[in-house]
Amino acid sequence: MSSLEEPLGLDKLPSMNTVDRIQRFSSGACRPREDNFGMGICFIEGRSCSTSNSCDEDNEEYTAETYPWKRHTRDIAQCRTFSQKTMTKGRNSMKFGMIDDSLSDFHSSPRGNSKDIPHSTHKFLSSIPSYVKIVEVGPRDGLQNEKNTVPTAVKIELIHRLASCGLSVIEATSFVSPKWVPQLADAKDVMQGVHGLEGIRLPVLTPNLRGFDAAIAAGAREVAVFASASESFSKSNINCNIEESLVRYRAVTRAAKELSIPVRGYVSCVIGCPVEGPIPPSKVAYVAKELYDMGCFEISLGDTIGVGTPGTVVPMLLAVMAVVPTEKLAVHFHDTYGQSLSNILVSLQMGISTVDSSIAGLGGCPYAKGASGNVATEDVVYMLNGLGVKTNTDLGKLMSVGDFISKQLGRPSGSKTAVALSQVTAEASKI
Amino acid sequence: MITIKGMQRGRFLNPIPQVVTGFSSSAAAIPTCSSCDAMDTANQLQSLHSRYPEYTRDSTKATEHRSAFNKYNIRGLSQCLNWPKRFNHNSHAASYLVNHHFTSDRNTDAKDFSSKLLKGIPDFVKIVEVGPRDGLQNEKSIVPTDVKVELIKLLVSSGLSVIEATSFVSPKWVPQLADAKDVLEGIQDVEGVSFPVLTPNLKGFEAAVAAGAKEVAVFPAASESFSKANLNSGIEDNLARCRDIASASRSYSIPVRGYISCVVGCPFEGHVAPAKVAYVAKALNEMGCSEISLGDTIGVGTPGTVVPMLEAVLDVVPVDKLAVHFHDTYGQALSNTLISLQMGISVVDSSVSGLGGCPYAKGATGNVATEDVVYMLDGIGVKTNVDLGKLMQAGDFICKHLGRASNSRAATALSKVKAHASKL
Repeated sequence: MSSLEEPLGLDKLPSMNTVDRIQRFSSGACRPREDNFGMGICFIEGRSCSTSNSCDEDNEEYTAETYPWKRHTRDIAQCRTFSQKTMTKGRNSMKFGMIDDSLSDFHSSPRGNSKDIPHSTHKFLSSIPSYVKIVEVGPRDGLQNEKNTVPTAVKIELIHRLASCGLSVIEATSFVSPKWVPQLADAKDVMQGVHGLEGIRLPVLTPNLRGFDAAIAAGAREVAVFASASESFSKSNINCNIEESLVRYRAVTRAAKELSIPVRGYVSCVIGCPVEGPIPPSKVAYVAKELYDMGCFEISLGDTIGVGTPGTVVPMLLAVMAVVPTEKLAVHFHDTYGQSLSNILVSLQMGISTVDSSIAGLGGCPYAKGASGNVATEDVVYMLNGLGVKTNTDLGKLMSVGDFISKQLGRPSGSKTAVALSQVTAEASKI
Repeated sequence: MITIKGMQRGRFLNPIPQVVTGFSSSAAAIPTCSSCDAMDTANQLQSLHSRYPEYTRDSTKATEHRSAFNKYNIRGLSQCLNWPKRFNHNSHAASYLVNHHFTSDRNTDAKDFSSKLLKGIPDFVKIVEVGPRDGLQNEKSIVPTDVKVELIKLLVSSGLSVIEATSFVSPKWVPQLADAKDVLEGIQDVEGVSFPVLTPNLKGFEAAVAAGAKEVAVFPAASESFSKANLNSGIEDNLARCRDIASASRSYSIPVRGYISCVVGCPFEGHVAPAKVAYVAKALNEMGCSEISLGDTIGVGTPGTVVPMLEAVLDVVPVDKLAVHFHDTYGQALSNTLISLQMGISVVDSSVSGLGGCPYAKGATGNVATEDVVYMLDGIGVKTNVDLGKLMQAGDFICKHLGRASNSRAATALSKVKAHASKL
């Protein structure tokens, strides 16, 4: 709903400064969130950040003038009693709308501490995990599907910058033959460039033993294999059918086990295949179970062409969850049809706690040229912050990394959150 | 066999045979299609199987099932997406493709819970198309009257039953819709579709009625500051104006739709208290609005804020009178729509091709795209009576005129696949 009587020009906006606005509308992953209201909006009360997440030092610069909502505190306080009456009358007893200075920093309290945290007891939100691990696939899955090849130095810089955002797992590159994936031909050099990064897991794709050996030689400490739930896709994508690919991966996992290298398993086409059409959940469950049995510590279920909706995601997850424990599962949705966030939401509701995403939504869809591919990390983190789910990532920093790589690729960001927040910032800076 | 209603919801027509494990290299070749017609194929599928074997690694029945799998004639994605010729009321290739599923019989607890995730979703969702008004109002280019009328007619042919036609706001403020009278005149012969128009005050209301409007809409805000800045009056004054319009329209037997803006966040105040939204909603309900549309004007909502807001409103307004109007500025619209559906909301506002930017974040997107919403609803098995193919044609038409690409990802993807497929 937009301005109806009078189109609101931005010159009418109050004199908030840029960063204030960005903080207002960005999820405050690193800031005290006592007033978060689960919205992803952070009301900073002037306290400096006490979380372990890196926090902008320039917090302290803000004075009361930059928080005009403080003038509204009275209004909101009036609403407080109103809302308390409404809310406690309502179906849950969530203390929504309360401004309580004694609320502790969101990140340092466990989510179960309902007194301090505005934790929803609503049935559709209570099953969502309190912590979700984001697996950043931009440097691999993203860059692999971009038209332009990015120089090695930029890739290394990208990974370093992503590491500073709080992400704990970043897929660095792929040891697939450069004949097939020329964009990642510099895998070895990238691995060398990120060698020094501590405390971050950097899995790499390995299609077979040869790739695995090359990865280990280059210093990889975690690998990933990728089977398909669709025969035809398997044949066209990796040149062998499902069983053959599983045989190859058993060899890889055997070798990896000897070296104590963890292996992540991907299943592609878990909802639909560009050739075959819909994929039966039992097939997905079969492949997932095979990967799990052969020793993969995590199975990532990928909706490769992005056709999934909750109507197909739920049965697929049910089938897989029947044979692989939920905590070992990850979801990897593509936003080709704009469905990824709703699919992620329903997966979270089903207890999935690992989500793959790509910074700035890097990576198009090879099956629908020009269409989008991976879901954007910024959008996912925005939603998770709004849900009150801990991710340990900093949305502001993610946005600047997204900005960096988008400039390098010469294309606009694929993340709507990033675009919105940066536009708001740009306009506000003109005030 | 699927026993849970929630699961069956997603089953578009017919389940496909469960493919048993134990594939070998002689596994199913790529299934070939014998016919173009989705309905024929579906019927063949129906007759192919009658039971779903439990998941097992033994391949004793593998051969039997594999050959059943071979037999079913489902077209590949690229061919199936020749959908303009192939749909049937709510069916089209995209949902046909993605809705043939069934589930394992194990783990009934997970199934029971998961069925709740989809079971609460209404069987039918009414889409209120706001493109011609909310969309065009926020586009840079002004579109000529005949294009607006053609757009509305194309939207009508896609099955939409409510299309917000225009706005009787002063052309000084909204030049894009200065031709309100002419637009209404152009669509006056269209039957069976509701064309609400915005009326900010009694003067606008009278102009609307004179022009032939049969349904109007009013739009207070839940945020005081937004109300003052946007509508030049505080919430209470605005509600008083709405009451005037409501009583005037009662005498004409004209239904009034109420919009509430800034139901989650306000560009000035930040977070908006659910209680405030409930207050305005209750007022609109009491003054006789037939439906109340809750708008996340700046698109900042996530389920964490949408749920408490909806709960507060549901306490004072019955769910069947509520609609949700999410903006996709932060990419959150579809997930917010999903959670609203789970809570029982059955009316969704959207804009064809995602027309309409965001005036608060220049260049960012605004309204959620109708095609994306319909794609999701089709996938969940919710009836909308909207034909995605025809909807895409309407979107295509208006985007060409505006000289810009569609904001709908589903439409973009489907048209690319179609373009690619037609080269095959």
